[in-house]
Amino acid sequence: MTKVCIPLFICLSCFFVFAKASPLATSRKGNNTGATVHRGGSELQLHFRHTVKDSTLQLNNVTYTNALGQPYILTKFKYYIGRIYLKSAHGRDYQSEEYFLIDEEEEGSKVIRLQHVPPGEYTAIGFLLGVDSLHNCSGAQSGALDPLNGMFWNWNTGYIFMKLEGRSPASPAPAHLLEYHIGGYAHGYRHMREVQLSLPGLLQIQPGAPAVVHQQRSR
Amino acid sequence: MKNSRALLANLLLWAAGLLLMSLAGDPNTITSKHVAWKTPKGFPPPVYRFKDNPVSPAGFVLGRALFYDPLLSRDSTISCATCHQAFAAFAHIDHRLSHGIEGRIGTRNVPPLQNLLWSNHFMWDGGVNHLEVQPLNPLTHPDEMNETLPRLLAKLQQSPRYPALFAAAYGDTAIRTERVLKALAQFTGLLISANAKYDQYLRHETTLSEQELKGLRLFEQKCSSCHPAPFFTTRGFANNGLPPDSLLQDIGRQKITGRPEDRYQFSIPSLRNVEVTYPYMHDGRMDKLWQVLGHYSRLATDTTLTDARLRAIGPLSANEQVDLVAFLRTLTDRTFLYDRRFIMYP
Ligand code: HEC
Ligand code: HEC
Repeated sequence: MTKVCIPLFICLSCFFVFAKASPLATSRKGNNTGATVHRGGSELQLHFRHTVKDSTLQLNNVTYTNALGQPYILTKFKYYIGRIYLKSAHGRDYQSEEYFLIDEEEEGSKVIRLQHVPPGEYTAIGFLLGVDSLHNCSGAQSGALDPLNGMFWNWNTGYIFMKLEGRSPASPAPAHLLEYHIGGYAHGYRHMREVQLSLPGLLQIQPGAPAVVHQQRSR
Repeated sequence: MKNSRALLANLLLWAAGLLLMSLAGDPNTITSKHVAWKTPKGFPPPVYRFKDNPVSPAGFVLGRALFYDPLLSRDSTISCATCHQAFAAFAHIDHRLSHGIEGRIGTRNVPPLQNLLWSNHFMWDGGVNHLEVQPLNPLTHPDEMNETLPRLLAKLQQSPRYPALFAAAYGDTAIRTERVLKALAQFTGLLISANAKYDQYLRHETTLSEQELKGLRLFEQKCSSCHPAPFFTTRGFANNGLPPDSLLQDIGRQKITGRPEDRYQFSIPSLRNVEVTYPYMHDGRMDKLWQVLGHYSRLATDTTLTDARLRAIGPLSANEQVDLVAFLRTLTDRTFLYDRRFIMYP
């Protein structure tokens, strides 16, 4: 792997947390873990917007400049988000086990829709950036984790958590490519990141009452 | 009179033959009896238990069809079975390094496929962590089948044969990566070898000759530290003292872990069916078992060795080498090599 001296500033930002009322706001006790499974609840949408410095990321047609004054363009930005949870004063009140592949090129992928979110007052939202060890060792999987999505290493098995690709005349790699493929779940190479964002004010999810929260997060 | 009796006898024989053939049926037929399996006596519980992938006759048949189908390679010339031959315990006899499409030569020797349910890592460097995802390697490797997943799924969908096979196995005709991989795991997982002469000896069904017994005792003294029964491997990694090949530049386990101490370490291979899995070692550099024993014997004078298990072997006399080979041959499991379930008849 070639080392390229190009610090990139990507801001993963702006969550619009939007709770939509669901007509079936019922809940029932389910499964043997004793956890409450809400069949009703609300739909929670998370909207992801990627920015470079302060402007919305545009693939292919905008030339950016890094802190060293080196120009670059970006051609691909894809990453996994999973194990999304919501925290209230009582602890984690909602936990999803699903994984999502967010791809700058696919508008639809930038909106995550969580179903059956129980009513409550939430103070923080958290998720894993990457894929946990268990899902890296569970064999063939479908959906976001289908190796078909090109986010899987075969020779040293495991998921690629994030792909950032582009070009820069300053890159010594063939065709001046920039390629950051980040992954790794084994001991000493754990590259998934726990992210927890406290919400500005309380997020109140109540049947019939839409709520919108903006959350800015830089990385 | 004589003639007509002969004719009658012939006819009868012929009819009996036909009846027998129809009783035996299609040699490719698989029933639930064929896919029933249990942990062989003396084996630990398996690592891969077909959780989320229950074995069924239709799943196994689909996996076998895929395993034997050259459609899986980019130019439809190479199947898994091209490199993994049933009669060689699914290794590739007489090929040092793997041969992929367009005659492309890989960098490693094809290992046998056996008792994979008991393995927690795959490949010579242990880079693959799960039986189900292993096929992604040969499928997409440029020097092997050089196919892409989207193209492969499209080819399977368009083929006249696969939608029905997937429907039989999974209840509908959807063809997804997960289904392809799980069906292949049903086939490769059932490649269980546990009926060698050595196993029969342990079960008191047969006896070993004087020479084989001498070989067994020598083996237990000198080789079991790395190659212990029942799989004849610890499933660990080691450097068994082979000089590195300067052309291949294969650093082995270090490629996966990045740790300098893992340089030139390779997965300790199982020695079951070793008689038929030649050539030997990760790069297939040896063709004969006596060459392997010659190598271990010569290590006695190698002062650079750090692994105490290798230093403990010491020089092996000509007689000892012959005894060891006799013992290694008791690990050949002919029921496995000629098992009709694992062969695809045209
Ligand atoms: C071009 C030859 C070739 C083809 C085709 C091929 N393999 Fe292999 N196979 C190999 C080689 C070589 C290795 C060892 C690779 C390594 O260690 O890097 C291997 C390793 C394996 C292993 C791991 C065995 C172990 O104990 O570590 C399995 C399982 C396997 N192959 C299954 C398959 C399946 C299933 C297919 C078809 C989808 C297939 N192979 C196609 C050459 C091939
Ligand atoms: C330090 C651990 C160790 C010891 C002790 C050891 N081996 Fe090995 N053996 C290995 C490793 C590792 C390999 C694979 C090496 C490679 O390919 O680079 C191997 C390969 C082999 C092979 C080739 C198998 C194949 O399928 O390619 C045979 C046969 C073998 N050993 C027999 C023996 C015998 C017989 C003894 C005792 C005299 C012995 N080994 C002692 C670690 C060991």
